[in-house]
Amino acid sequence: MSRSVNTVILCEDRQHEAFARRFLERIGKGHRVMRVEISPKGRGSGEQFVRERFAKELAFYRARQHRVEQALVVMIDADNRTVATRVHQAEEAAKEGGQEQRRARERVAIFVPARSIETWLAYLDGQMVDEKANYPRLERERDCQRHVDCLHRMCQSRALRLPAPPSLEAACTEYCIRLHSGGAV
Amino acid sequence: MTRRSGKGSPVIKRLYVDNYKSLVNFELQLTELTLLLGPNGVGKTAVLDVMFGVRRLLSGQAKVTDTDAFPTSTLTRWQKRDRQVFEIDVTLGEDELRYRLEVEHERTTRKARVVLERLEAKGRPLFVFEKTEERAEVRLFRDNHSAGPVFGGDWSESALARVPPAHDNTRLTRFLDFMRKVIVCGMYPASFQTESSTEDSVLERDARNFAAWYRHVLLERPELVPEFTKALQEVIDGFRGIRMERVGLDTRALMVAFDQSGERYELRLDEISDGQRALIALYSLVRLAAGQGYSLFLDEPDNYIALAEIQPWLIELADACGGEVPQAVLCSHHPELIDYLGGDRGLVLKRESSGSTVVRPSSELAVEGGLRLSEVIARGWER
Repeated sequence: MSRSVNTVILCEDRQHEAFARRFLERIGKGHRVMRVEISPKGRGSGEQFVRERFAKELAFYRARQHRVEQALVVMIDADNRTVATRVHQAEEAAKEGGQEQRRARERVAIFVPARSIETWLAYLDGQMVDEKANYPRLERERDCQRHVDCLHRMCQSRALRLPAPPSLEAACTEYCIRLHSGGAV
Repeated sequence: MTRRSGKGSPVIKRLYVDNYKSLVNFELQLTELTLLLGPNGVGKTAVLDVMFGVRRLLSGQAKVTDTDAFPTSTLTRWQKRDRQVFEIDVTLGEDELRYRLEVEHERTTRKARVVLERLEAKGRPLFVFEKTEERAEVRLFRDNHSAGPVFGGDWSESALARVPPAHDNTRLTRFLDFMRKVIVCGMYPASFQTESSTEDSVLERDARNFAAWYRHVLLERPELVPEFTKALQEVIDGFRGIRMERVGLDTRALMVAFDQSGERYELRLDEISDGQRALIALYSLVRLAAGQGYSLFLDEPDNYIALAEIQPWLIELADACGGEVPQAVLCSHHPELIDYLGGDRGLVLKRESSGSTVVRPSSELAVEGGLRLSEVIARGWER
């Protein structure tokens, strides 16, 4: 069967990819319909790659958005910034690249774990987390499957365990508005 | 935030090679998934050749002078030294083993002999073969390193390969089992033979015995066939399944079933396209050989397959590495592999002015903002 990608994952590093891809797989997307665009620099300086690439991917998405189920999923760590700052930076970069701001019905979601994806992983492991603290990386990126499963269960019950990291709450809202209600995933 | 080093999955952590083709005093640190990058002629395939030669020797299938082992023609041409050294560090669970092989050549007669073969754990021996002027002697050691039998050995081959499993040499046996399941392969689908009269546990260097190997893995894990078939149905238009058809007393032909517009038909393996053969073989390595302990050293696995099919296969391989597939080492120039794996799994081989090959992580390459790694390499801006 010929492959036709309908979801692009644009991310900083392999942990982002593993988490985002596995979550999308968990809700029914096959990896054959996904395309992963990952920073060549890895975590730390990968944020610049994602920001610069975002305008191009947004343009590609817009050129094909009339087709059903197209989606662009962006993942970028907040690091020492806020979620709003990271989203704003991405949108500014898009603007500089000649792309208008995201419109309401566009299935373009920007997920910003604060301080990093490891914060979410620690939370999903049952820890109380602080979005300003650093948490250790997993031994292997694919070990995040259990975290993805946990998040998926929370999604199904429509409730994060409290207290939840605000960046994950924001990501859930982003998912509901941009992807789920849009019918993409 | 450093990543903890993985324990559990068997993995070759280090390869050291000296005086073999372009590899002089060459050291490679490997992980569960590694992409070898670099210009033509830099030694990527030589790395795979070493692994293939060592695996052949340790399987007891080759003499040291065989073409696919370490004949004198493999000596580094600009070196005057006659001794080659190969070292492989393997982690098997909690056990960290080092295998060392030294081969000495006589350039004029083109004779070669094993002068040292040793397996040790943290410097303590499990096996030693030494060839001196006076004698060629094997010294066996038990799992607890206490001295075992001493006897004469043959310097034309691996003496280690001749050691039978015993209750007190389980560490050595595990090492041999692991190394014998290293698949080193640069696929040449046009050479795939459709018929096989045996079941081969090891895939040949060009995968010509794919049908015989397929028969073997099929017998080992028949329960994986439905998922394997399903995966290929998504990848190859009209694909329905694979069947081994009896065409002789012991001979079977690998038949591929298709469905086109409701019409079912079968083609022999040699009747389908090179790309379809490559896809079947690549998905067999990840889906069907899963959990059988096969480590993969693959030369340009992207050859022959459609651009759109490369990343999905890579994702499957990356997910399997360290688990169902203990380890994969890939050599490639393909942008799809470079961009997907290069950021954190890539090692760049480079020839120095001395002629020797050196290695550095691709994460150290200077990448201009926004450019893909493959584009940086294509422009020669990585230096």
